[in-house]
Amino acid sequence: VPEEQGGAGAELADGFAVLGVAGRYALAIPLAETLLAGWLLSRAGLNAPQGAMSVAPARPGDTITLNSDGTLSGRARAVPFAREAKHLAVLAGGSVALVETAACRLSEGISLANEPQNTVTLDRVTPLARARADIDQTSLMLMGCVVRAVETAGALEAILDMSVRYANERIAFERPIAKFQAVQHNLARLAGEVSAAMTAAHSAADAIARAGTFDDAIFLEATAAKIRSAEAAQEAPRSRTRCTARSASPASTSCIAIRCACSPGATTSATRATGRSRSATGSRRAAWKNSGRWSRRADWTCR
Amino acid sequence: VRAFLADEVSKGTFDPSRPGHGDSHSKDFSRRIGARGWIGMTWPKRYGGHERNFLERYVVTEEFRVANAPVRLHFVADRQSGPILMKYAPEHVKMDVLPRICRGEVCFAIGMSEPNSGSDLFAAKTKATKTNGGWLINGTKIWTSNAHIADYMIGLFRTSPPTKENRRHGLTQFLVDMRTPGIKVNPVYQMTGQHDFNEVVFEDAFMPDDHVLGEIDGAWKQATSELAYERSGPERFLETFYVLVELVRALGDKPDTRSAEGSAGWSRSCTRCGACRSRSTACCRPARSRWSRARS
Repeated sequence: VPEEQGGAGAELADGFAVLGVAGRYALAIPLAETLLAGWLLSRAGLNAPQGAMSVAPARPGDTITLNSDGTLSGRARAVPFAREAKHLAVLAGGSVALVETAACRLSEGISLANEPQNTVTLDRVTPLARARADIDQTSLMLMGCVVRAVETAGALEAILDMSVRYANERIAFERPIAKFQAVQHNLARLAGEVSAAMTAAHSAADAIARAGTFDDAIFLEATAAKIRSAEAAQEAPRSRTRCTARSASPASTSCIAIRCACSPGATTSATRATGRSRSATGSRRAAWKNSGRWSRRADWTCR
Repeated sequence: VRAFLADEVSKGTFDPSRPGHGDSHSKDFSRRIGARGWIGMTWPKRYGGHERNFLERYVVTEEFRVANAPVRLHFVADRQSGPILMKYAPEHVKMDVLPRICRGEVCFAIGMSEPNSGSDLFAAKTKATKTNGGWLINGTKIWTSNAHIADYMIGLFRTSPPTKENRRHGLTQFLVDMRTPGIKVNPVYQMTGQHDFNEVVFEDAFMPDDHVLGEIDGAWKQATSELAYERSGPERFLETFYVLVELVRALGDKPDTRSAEGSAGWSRSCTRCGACRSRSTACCRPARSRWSRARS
């Protein structure tokens, strides 16, 4: 967001770098959502307010409409951190609007990572500000895809570091468990998945930071990053558990990987936006299924 | 590059719709590619190379693979044998062989695997014994692609037994002239009748001293860095890309949910290919991107 609009004047690349680090540390605050909202507002030349924000709609199938009297109506499901956000950046048709969360109706709801995730209903809500913007919903979803992919990759990186460190520390049968081939094999699998997720996410982030428009090349980059990092997020906890089972290793990073990968918020189903990539939905469903299994496992590991 | 390939297709050099055909060899075609400056692209000019960057080489490699163009004759030499020679061969050998590779005139094979040892390279038994002015090779290599058309092989042979402390000790790389007396190439046909693999039998084949590559008994590191050249290029995932193309064609415009979204569905395969390509291109970018730098 440019400085004259209340932002830090940093580039997109810097924002992605920050999110990668946030992912590494399993940051459980709406940072990604706020950055994404700020970006969306700036596309319309609107100033970003102080405090946490989120973005609506979060799913490609949901639409918010702009009424003739300038109010907004519609329903956005699974908006991440909506309950903790003071404002929402809303995309309605060809306009971007800044809305007070208090003016909307919010459902209860939490994500797998125990973070707020709410259905937001707007019933003739008068926005604080509104302007036309040259951005469509698919582009917003693609941007969300990359934001989540970068966070996921950061979280996976942390999982790999922790697993390698732990495997070298824990002694079993008089050797660090990292000396056992079965453990090495799982670590190698994990490293492969992490590398795939990171490269896909970095590549997409670089492409988006370089390009001004959301063309077909960006579409492929963004969806590939999202799907591949989500796949890695399914595989990584599995490999990790095999390396560190019976340990009391922290599960929080796995949880954020899962959150990033599965959270329908802002992004996951982005690729459903067009008929071109039906896979995203499939991968999302699979991710949900697996993450449910993992979250139970994570609880068990925590204890 | 595309214009060149289109021209070759129209001349009937190869059929781009026939994958696998690209694995066949054509001496004249390789020479024409060499004349364009597309072999040894990243190598120094004094060895016949063109001092281009790895991304430029990537672009050429990818275009040729996507077009199913027959590159088998020069490709292994371009990808890994040339770089190995550049690093470890004596200067006069480099001056002799490398320019011929760049002109598309010579074909290389890789002699690593052996019967009864699978892909366990430590277990290599084919022996090089010191003799006057060189070495005598005895033993057998197997699954050697191209051996039947190759002018040279880069072979991994045992010059000493492994030590108790170091299983990797005792292997040495040689530049093998395939016309050397005492080398016999036997075909190993595939189920489809294709001829790609061979068994190569060495019986007192003489290798001169100046064909030793790098350190005697210390080739393990060289062989693993050679594998790094072998495994990072676009040909690795494009070799089977046509299957995906055929799948999409066969499924038509309205594939059902399972074939599109399933774990082996086409759209998921597409994203995996995309991710492979990102990783492959990341290997040939000289400088890390701005964002990656900010990250680190």
